[in-house]
Amino acid sequence: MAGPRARSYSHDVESERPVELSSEQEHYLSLWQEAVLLSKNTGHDPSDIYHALCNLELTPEEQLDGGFIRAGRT
Amino acid sequence: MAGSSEPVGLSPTEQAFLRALHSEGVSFMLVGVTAARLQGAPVVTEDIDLWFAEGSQGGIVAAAKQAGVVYVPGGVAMNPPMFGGRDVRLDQVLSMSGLGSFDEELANTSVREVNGIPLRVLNLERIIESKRAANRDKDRAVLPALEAALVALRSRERTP
Repeated sequence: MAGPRARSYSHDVESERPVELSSEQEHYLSLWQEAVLLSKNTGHDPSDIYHALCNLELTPEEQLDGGFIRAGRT
Repeated sequence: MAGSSEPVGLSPTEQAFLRALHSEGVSFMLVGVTAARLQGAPVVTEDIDLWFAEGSQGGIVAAAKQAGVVYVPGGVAMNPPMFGGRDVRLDQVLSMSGLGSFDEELANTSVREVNGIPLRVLNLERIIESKRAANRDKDRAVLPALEAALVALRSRERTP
């Protein structure tokens, strides 16, 4: 017997939200919503797009710090 | 992004080597996953792929010596050119699948400043093209994330 269908969080843009969000929460939520819209238009994974949007806000040094299997520290 | 420590970016030895390449007049560009990472791609890698202009060997050797980087030229024992060192994550790329020559691809780069060092970085579109052409398992594995990053990058270029 089939159970209730799992809802796809990736497309649940207008799901129930907390009453109050901090400006940081609002910012990242807007990035997620942008990622979902871009995903619908392109077929690419919304999570990958979201993380790329987040990465684009980082400095080059921060981008590198998150991108290596081993750190460059001595 | 929240965090208590200062970003590191390139290691001190890597910085010294890249600065030495500039002072030696060596023309090079960042390619591969590290270059993609600098354009937002949510991917990780083991090394910093560098593609050098033809005839750079002498400059590479001199820069490595200045910076204290271990450099083993290619062909000593049927090996590719190799970098070594505890805080060195550099790798020399000899050719890029599916792309034009180094000189041709210079037109498809942009300059990013990392740790105060201007670095020429191959555009994400061309990195994707090379990954598609190389078509190894590891290339295919990163393609979805690279393509998604290109979507994000283009969106940011339209609406910064």
